Amino acid sequence: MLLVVLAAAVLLAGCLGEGDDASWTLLDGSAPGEAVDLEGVDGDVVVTSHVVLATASLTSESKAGSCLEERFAELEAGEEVVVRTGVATESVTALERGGHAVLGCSNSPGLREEGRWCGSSYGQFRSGSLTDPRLDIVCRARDGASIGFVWVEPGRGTRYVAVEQPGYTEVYEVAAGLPVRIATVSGVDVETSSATFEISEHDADGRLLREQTLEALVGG
Amino acid sequence: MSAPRSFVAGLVAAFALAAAGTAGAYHTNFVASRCNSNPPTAISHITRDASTTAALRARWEGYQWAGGCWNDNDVDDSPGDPPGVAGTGGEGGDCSGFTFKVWRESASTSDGGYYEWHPLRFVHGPYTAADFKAGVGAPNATMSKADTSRMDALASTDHIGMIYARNADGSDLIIEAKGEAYGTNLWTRTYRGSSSYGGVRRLGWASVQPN
Repeated sequence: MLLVVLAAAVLLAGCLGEGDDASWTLLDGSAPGEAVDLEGVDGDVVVTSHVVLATASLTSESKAGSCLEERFAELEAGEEVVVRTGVATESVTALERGGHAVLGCSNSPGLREEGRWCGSSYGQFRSGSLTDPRLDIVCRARDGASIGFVWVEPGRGTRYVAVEQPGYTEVYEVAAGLPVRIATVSGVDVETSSATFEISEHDADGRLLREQTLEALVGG
Repeated sequence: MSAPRSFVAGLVAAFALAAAGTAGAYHTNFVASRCNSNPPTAISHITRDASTTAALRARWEGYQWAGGCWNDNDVDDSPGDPPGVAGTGGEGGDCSGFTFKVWRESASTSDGGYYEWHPLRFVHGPYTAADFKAGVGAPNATMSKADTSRMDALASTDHIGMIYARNADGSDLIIEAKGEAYGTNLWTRTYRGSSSYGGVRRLGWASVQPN
């Protein structure tokens, strides 16, 4: 009997190693992306999913198509859009045709009024960079807490952008050369209309390239 | 230094430090030295007349991206803020923050009530121009531009201005926080005729002050 218990314990230890994300699912019920080992990131690491779509192929019923139609009907999007799904959020990001601005939508499982999306943002580039990360705090989690979204412009060599969340780290893979729309489910301060994001950037091998605490204000 | 003032000073200092790289270390002490974090006063109603008065109080007072406080001396006390840089602590609101305060809205998007924010209370509110344009939040709703009237707004994905008066030629006199180079003031605009702009209303205007 003791041998059976010991064997079971060994098996369990092998199955449930540190940082195991087997219990996590994304907002749409799908499994997280393929696990990555990121330098300096401990605990549960949940890789979000993303898909790059051709704007010309979008329908108004699709996630990305409904974003562009619902919130940016008078604008023309660039050739590609990136749709991301995280643990408690999803987002759409596209460049405005001409590349002078980035636009996108934000979504969460909490209450919202009409429409498919709870938030949207528009950010202009100046000298090749966003003038502002375009904080959006109007989306809510199921418990009513505000969720904050910003765009991060990855630095040279970045493949993964990691964001600290309560009890896990959420990882976003750079895609289509667009700014990465990240979220925080705990860093919003409603009183000051601001949010704080603890971010690290990693290369394709998971090596840590840079870290930052991004403090953003709602503006514009 | 009192607790609320130290809070505001700390917040401004943190963002000023973060902005120092891009702002060339420009910052003023307007927010830190004159603004506060006092709670708003819940009020029973709002009228277009009273909101017009509140909006005119911000005229000439400058512009600050992501900003939210001003005095009433008809002077931009923080001229020359770097455009589009948050946290430089200058006087004035930006277009969406100005609208939020004039429309007496709550910092909570699910609250459609009425809240008087003192001009020197540093607050921007949760909405960007894009949010207003989409009618996001309990107090806001989209509407036909043709049905807009005084103190409704015309909003695009990156700007919002409130209607002060309709001109005979179909344009509008708009009161808006326009930008660092322009400040907050009244201008004749043709937003109404632009497909980029939609109508937005603050819900719940009282037509006259209740007895």
